[in-house]
Amino acid sequence: MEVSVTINGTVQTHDVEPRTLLVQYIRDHAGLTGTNIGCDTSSCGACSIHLDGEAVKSCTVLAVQADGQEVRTIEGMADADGTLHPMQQAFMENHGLQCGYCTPGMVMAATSLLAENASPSEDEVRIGLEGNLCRCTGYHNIVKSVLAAASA
Amino acid sequence: MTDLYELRTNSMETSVGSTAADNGVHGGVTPSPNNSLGVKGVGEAGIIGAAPCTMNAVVDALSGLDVHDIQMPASPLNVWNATQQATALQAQATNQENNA
Repeated sequence: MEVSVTINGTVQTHDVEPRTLLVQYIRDHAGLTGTNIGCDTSSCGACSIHLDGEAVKSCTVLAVQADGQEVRTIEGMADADGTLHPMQQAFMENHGLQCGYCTPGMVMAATSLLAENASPSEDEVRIGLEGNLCRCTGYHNIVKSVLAAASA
Repeated sequence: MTDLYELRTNSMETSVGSTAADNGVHGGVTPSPNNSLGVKGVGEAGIIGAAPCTMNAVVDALSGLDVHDIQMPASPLNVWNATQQATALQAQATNQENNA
């Protein structure tokens, strides 16, 4: 069935099977592989994206559920001229990543968190990112990055 | 006792990793006493670069055949396919030039 999603400002229409997950739609049909698949069971948050401005785990959303909605992925965070999003910049400056696998999901979850709470406490950041796992356990600098982005 | 021999870490559901909310991990500096720089080895960090480094070396070795990319692993079949494809593309390009 046809599913139209506005991904990073561009409307895309693809003919997909009804059971297609949003993350498969983004990666395999839209060709945007910046969104990672970590666990496929909504445990890890690596596939976090913004659906109508709010962070969701895209392995838990069917592509058809996103029909007619707006999706923002990690590819849509930086400006067209390559200027990083303040959250990406903060992750870079604070070494908020080690292997980088969880990073796209962390950045998407963290920006969504700041949209709800512009100046969170450290505890609020930690609780807000509880759904995103970092297998390197690099939370120290991830939390530092988010706090830096909040005060940027 | 039925689950005595059952693996408890078989998925992310049961193998609960630490999350950002597990507060209490703090940084500390403990230089190694075994060398003058105080440096230590760091877990798997050295491994991360090894695979791309090897693949780059394979691609570099085949660059004379116009191979620009090989997907891991560099199995004999993958390497053979890549060289065959590149050679076929080259032959095609030469044919087109000759026909033009």
